[in-house]
Amino acid sequence: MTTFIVRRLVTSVIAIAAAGMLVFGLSRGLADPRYTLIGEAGYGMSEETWERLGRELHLDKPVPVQFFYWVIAISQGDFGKDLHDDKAVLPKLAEKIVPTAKLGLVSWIIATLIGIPLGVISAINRGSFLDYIARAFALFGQAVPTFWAGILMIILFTVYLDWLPAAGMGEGIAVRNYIMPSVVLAWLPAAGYLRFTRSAMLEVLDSEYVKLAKAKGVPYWSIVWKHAFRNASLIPLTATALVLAGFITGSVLVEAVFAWPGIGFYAVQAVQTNNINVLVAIVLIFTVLFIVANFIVDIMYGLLDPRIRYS
Amino acid sequence: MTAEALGTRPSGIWASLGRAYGILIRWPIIPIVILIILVLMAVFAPVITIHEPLDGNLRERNVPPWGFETGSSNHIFGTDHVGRDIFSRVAYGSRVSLMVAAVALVTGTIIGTVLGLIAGYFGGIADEIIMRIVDIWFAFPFLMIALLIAAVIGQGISTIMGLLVLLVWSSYVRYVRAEVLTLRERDYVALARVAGASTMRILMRHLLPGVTNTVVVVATLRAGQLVLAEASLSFLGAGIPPPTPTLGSMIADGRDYLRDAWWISVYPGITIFLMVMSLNFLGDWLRDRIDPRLRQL
Repeated sequence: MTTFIVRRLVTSVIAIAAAGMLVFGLSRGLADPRYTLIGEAGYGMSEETWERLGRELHLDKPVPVQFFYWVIAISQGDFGKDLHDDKAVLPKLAEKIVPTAKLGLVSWIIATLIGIPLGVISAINRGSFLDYIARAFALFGQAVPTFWAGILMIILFTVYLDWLPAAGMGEGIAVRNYIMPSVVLAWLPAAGYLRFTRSAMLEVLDSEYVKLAKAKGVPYWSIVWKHAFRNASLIPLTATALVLAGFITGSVLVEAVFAWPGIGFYAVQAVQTNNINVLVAIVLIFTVLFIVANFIVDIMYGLLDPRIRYS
Repeated sequence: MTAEALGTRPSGIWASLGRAYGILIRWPIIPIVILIILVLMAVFAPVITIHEPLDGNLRERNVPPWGFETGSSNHIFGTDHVGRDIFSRVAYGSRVSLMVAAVALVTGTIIGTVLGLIAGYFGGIADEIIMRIVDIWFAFPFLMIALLIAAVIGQGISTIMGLLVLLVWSSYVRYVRAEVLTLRERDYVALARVAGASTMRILMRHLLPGVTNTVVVVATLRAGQLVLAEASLSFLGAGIPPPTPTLGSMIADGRDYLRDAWWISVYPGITIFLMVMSLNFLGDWLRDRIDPRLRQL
């Protein structure tokens, strides 16, 4: 087990280092970063400012040294300034992560509550109409562009029915503001959970011990939930990486559609205005978050299923 | 099979409906027809459209589609906020989307397959390096990296193609490598080696045909994902910049006019949906037919 943890840890650390180099390389290597830092009103920057910026960014030093300074700054939480209001990026991000986390949590609950039970029902009624409906739900979830689903919901529930607000987070606990974004964001992860739960359940239901339980006359629901589901419930864990990637990608798209005041929306605005410092910070944070979460899932999986450790 | 084992084989009207639906899935005629129609629409966009995709007519802004209120067959999908014909924009937009996705898919397939062959056949240090890179690449959230690259390099067709290649190449490596690992131990490969075939010949003539099935299945399953990724990036303004019509950016354009002109966003969205859905169906079907072991994909 220790070897397994160490190996995963090494891979994760290398991944984080690679992410750092990649982001650094992208933000510095392709052009003089001073051009991207000028911002929109920066035309006609004076010679002295140019030089001063060069010194501040350590551009007069070799690239590895620049990278070293950059890593030091970031590990101290210094991601530079938002090019539009000149405020430090990190406190702004800390403020904006709250709406994103709230939306993500609500969607995750919805995705779990829909995806896993539907996967079980779909598996025990394999081949029935219900099964096909559930699989169609999953297939649609993978084929309908997230942002377009959001727009369709706005057309239906805001424009025509006038039931739900189209944008923003509302004041306090505004349930009506959460409904559309969280449902749209939950769709793809729910589809992932459904597919994984379904195939895991099918596999377990086909096993010898379930047949034995059935032969012994164990009640049907007890077979499904106690014998089969408990063993199958491990498998959706593997879907977690997929689901998490779905949330990270999804939150950017969904926040852009519903003008949700979180990190995803901020990232989109940063792309459109070339706000490079903000983008670098967000990309780094999300990437590290993703790698760490994958690491935790891997370890949990290794703990729960010993076979994984040796593969 | 399982359902029977548990004694719950479904019967009645729902079950027959389910079986009918099952047949539709087993024979992907509908997805293939839809796909052919979409490809033809994209290829013959200049022939089948009567309006230019970029020419707006300000006197004909937000005209509803054919069959709705004041809509006419002149603009069957209506017009957008600057009076451009939505049907011709959808046709030209599909052209851009399909072309970008196809180029990226072919490039990514070649890169991924070659790396998979190398990793599987040579093993050792090459294998180790390639597989570690793949592992690490899988640990990155793609959209985030894509946004950064698009912002730094600047948006454009070649940028988005490059991004999509980055998205797709890694998915081949593992499957191709696993396949090659078993193939290279076969007698015919050993015989080829004894007969003096060069490494290149063994890879290309003896191993590549053996992995073709896997590659085709993975490619079909990834094609829809690429279309979706291109649409998402264009929607976010990190894809192909205006004025080139793309399905994703059309949806973004329509977002400000949902109250007056829902059709601006709806038709391009339907097109993306049909494209991705039929590609996914086709991929699922091919996988079940050719290579059921890839079920976890």
